[in-house]
Amino acid sequence: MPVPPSSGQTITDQVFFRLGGRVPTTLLIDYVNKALSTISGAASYVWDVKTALVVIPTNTLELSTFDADIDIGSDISITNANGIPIQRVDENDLLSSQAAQYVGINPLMFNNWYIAQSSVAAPGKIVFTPTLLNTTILITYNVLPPVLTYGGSPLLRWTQQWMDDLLIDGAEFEVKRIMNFEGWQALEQRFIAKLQDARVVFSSQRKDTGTLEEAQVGATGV
Amino acid sequence: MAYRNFLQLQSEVFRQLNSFREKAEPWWVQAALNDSLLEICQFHNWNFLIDRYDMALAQSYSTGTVSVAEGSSVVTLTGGVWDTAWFNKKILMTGSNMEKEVDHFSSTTTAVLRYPWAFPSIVDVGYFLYQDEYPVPMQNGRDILILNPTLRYRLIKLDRYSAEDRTVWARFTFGPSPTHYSDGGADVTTTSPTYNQARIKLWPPVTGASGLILLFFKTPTILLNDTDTTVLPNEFEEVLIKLALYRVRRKIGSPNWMDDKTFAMQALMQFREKQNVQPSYDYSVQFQAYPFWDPYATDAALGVWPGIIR
Repeated sequence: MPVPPSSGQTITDQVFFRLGGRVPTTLLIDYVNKALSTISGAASYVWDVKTALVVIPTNTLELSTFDADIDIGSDISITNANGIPIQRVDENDLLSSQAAQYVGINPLMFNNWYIAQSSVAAPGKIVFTPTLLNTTILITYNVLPPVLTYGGSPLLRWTQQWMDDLLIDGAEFEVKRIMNFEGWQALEQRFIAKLQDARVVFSSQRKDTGTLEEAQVGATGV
Repeated sequence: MAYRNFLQLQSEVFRQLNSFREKAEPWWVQAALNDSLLEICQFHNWNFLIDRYDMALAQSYSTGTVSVAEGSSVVTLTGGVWDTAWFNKKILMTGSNMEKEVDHFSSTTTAVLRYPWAFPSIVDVGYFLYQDEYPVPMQNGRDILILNPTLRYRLIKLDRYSAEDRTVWARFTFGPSPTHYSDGGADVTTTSPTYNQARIKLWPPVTGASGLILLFFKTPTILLNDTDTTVLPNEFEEVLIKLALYRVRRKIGSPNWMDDKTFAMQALMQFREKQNVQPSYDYSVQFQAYPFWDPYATDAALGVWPGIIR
């Protein structure tokens, strides 16, 4: 096994080896990326967390220009510059969030935000309430994983070898399923069980250790 | 005096709401803190709320003559100059004991009555413009007393019914300084800078400018900016935080929201007790009443404290 952080080439070579060289690496890299995407979509991981101090011109943050790699499906936390959290709301809370509807509040700070479709580019934009001029916010978010190539870069962000193994399993079982190779079902089960463990241990939303969920890590024995 | 500023109070509430199911918007917390601050301040006549307002009594005015048509609300002045910044005035016109409230002065020679003149028209008669109701920066019922600093006496306060009843035969007796006061509702003129502020009614109304001192329990200033602080003593701030948490958790529907309120109410009652029995008092609370009713002396079997033992 390669020493992490691994590249697309080292992971693909491992998959190539497990498949007995029957599928070319130029095809395998796609399945490595697919498995990586599945792993990434399962949780918000600590190695994907980024923080930025951003000035909002009025009330909109265009994500394509801010950070096109932002994962809008993962946890996003935003505070005002003074540390007061800006609350994420859904559509039915927006109409009750106008400053004129409140008394005894400071209207010169952001109260809430939501993600909306962007007219500029994907993945969308963050819209704040109320509209203010050049207001600084602190945003913590997760980014999508890198798209691996069959080469030395980019590298994966984790440094755990068993995460490499998880990724290799994910790519291997998918190729075997498509090629109808024997044993892919057992491999899929192993991948899913290990993925559950990864979600618990490396979640960026994990706050305390020793939870019941964490005690079950590895309990499946696969 | 304050232990925490507005930002620190908010942050403490957010820290205690730090769970996935208890997400609150900043404005919820800010409004809850200010509502709770008002609740604490109205819970008792706290000694830290004592404040003073110097009431400026306005000189009466009677220069020139006035005319008003039957059914009209407009009184016109000849030979004098009124001030459009005057509010809460009353006008008494010669030949009638029906004094009328002036809503506002639309010009220096035109007064608009609150209710129209329902009597036969009068032309160029003498008049007397005076003020016996004064807006004060206080909520009704939070007054302690009014002092006349010049003549060194306190005004007697009567309820509005008694005040009107006892002065009904002397409604237009004017004097150098009032001896009685009563609640005067609120300023009703929408264009007045003191619209909806509480008013004090004085008797007898004055003819010359003078001053009185109003002592009262003030309403706290609402918190707005991060660095704003409350008027509360330090130990009240945990009560403020708990009451704000109670309001936010009740809104969210979070379990145990009543615990916060129970804690806050018990603390408030303890603070009230502490203030009422502070050792610097010569007597106990309600010592202004006679005979001296002492709720802390009821165990002395008399029930009513007879007063100073000489």
